[in-house]
Amino acid sequence: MSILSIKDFNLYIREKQILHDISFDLNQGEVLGIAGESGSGKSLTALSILNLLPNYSRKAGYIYFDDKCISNLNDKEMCKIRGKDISLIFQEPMTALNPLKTIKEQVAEPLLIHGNCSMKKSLDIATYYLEKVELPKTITSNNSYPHELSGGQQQRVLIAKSLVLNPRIIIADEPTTSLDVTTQKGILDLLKNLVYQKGISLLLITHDLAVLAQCADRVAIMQSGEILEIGNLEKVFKTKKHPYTRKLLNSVNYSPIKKDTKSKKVLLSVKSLTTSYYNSKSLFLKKENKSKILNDISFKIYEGEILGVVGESGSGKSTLVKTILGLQNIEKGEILIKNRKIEANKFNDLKIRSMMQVVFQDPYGSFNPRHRIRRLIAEPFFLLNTVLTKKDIDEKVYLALEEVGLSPSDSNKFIHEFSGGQRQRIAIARALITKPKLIILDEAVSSLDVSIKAQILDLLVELANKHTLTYLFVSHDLSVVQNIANRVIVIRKGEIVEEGKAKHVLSNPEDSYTKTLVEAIPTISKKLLNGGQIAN
Amino acid sequence: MIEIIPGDPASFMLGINAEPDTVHALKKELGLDVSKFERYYNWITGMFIGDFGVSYTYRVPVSELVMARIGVSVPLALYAIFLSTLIAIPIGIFSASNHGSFKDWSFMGFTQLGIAIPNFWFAMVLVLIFSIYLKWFSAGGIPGWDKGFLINLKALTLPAFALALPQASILARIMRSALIETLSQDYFRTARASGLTFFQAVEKHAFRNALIPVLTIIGLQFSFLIAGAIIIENVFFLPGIGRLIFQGIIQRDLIVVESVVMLLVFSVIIVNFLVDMAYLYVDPRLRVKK
Repeated sequence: MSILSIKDFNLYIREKQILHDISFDLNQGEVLGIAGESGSGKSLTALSILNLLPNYSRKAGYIYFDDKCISNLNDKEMCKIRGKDISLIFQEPMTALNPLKTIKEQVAEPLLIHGNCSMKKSLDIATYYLEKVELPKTITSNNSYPHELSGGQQQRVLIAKSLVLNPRIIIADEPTTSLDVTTQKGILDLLKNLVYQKGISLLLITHDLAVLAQCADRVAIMQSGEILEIGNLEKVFKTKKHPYTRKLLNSVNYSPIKKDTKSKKVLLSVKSLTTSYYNSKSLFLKKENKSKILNDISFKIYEGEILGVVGESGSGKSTLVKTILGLQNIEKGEILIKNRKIEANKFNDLKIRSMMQVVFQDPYGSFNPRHRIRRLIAEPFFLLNTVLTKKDIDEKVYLALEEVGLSPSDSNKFIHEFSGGQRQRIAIARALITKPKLIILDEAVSSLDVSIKAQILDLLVELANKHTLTYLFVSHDLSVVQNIANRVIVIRKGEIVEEGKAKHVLSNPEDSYTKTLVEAIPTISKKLLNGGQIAN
Repeated sequence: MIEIIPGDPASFMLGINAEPDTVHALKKELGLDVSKFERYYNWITGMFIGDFGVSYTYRVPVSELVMARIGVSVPLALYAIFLSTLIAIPIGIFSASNHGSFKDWSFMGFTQLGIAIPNFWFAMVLVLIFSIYLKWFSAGGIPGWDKGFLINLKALTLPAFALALPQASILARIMRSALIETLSQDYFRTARASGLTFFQAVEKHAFRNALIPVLTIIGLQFSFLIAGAIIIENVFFLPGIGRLIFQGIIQRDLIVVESVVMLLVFSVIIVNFLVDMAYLYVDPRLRVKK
């Protein structure tokens, strides 16, 4: 029986049509997954159901909840449904909680608003639900504030908040996207169990098809505001009727073909590296509160290989990158690149600097928005000793742009005129321009959609094969690392727990931590993928 | 600094035609005959034990002068801060919740005007309207606190309002932009999604978060209030600190000027300290857990 049904729903924002004739039903007790890449309108679909749309939006069509039309209710009437019958869980748990209120107050809030509940009783119920979402006793028994919790714990708080009034429907918008794989598994298991126990219907919105494959009963595939395909999970995944569905499924676990390098020449060697952060450095007291971030790390990168570095957030990956780039003090040990020592915060050795370039995760934040692409890409030229003429620079910039699949005419544009994938291509062009030996890719594809991610990985491997580049590929995403890296090291709490050939380590992990990491990766089983015709 | 600029209190007091001998005698009496460094040392060390020295013109201890006038200036400053907050916060909330609309624009236009109008001119307009034309308030002066609380409050209303207007305008703009920022935060959306109406969500979630930048501005405004008070107290003929410092400068009563300036410095520091403490109350992220 359908509990929520959307019929011919259209949405316009500033008279631009965002959603086109959306229609689907959500049945009692089922998990319906909506998948799509960014900009496909999946979040706005969720917000439309609760009528929490941005200003200047206009809608047409019908939304029925329990056979009652709710799309024409006014705000006051909608408030009675929001949080009580239909509740919403958002993507960013870190910002979705009010930083100034205790988590218990916030979980209890829907009770106070809807439930005619006394303050004390609602706090008791809040505590009960906080325990139910498996938060540790130290958090549930104290008056904790959101900033004292980790991302995963905050998401649990939000789940508890969405549950307190026993809603009939929960809409979860990318509930695990910003979380680590192991945390993601915990949250998904929890959601799944609670939904089955209580017979709640779940509308799960995600860009990650593998996550859907694990939880959903039915799936809808969305692209630019339209539902392309909707149906049983197995049926949609096996038949791959729509070309877009096929493209998405192929992009998952995409593995570009790379040369296996047999070079024995060491490019970069890290010898028993230790670094620490000092927190609460007092002005007067000499008491130091040291926390070790990297502890006795040693590894080598050979010329022409792709070394993957894997670890959860807080494992010290970023610190490792910073230390190699010479932006972080080395406490013990040394880092050599081509037998030259890298020293922290010394920027006079241009030779070392021109040998290394970096591509960061956020392709927008790592560019100055006021400069044109030409200037952005040409920036590393100051690392070279030779003085280049304007014509030389232009030629090199054009060449670099062409190499990453953009056109020379793009050099006069600004960064905001490009899409996320194109921005990352520009970042790669900037890294390439001085012909470095080593390129450090710090979560370089993590914020990209699956199909774009596949394209960028392709580009990276193509460039590596062409110019014999060496990559240090840092990522929390094991499936990507598995598909691109030759060798991999797994870091946990600043120590290397496992090292070896990428395919080998991630398919037969020996260390128990690597095992939990690998097991937590959501995968689409072979059976689901290969059931239908093999896509070309 | 003030000691070095030309103008000798003794010769000023006795007039241009005074005999040099008389001037010298007066200088000796006032303690002006010793070197500048010695006078500075005496002044600084005296301050630690609450002795600010003796006023050249009034011949009474500076501390006595100050104490008599604090009774006017502190209530005036508090009243002005109270008024400006009272005016600014509702305007800020109203503008932010109607962000981008005609109502928002017209209110922001008014605040722009409030910032642009010099407060002494505004004070005179207030006197013209409310004292001379409507005769609701007296044009200046204060009856003294022994005459009852309300009557004094009434006397301070016009000056406090004149002082508060530019501050309220700035504060309203800050409140508006801070609130617009918090309205776009995820936690506001979470609150709305759990069934709070717009104004419930503003009251329970957005308001306190928006208050953090507003607190900073209130703290900074305190020193502007003091500067404003020097002019406003003269317009309304109030015997406050601002008027004292003004008279001190005119009469070359340097010791009074120096001491009052010192006192104001202390009070600004103390107010900013209180604002910092207020952050701790509002924002739990700043509290360090032992």
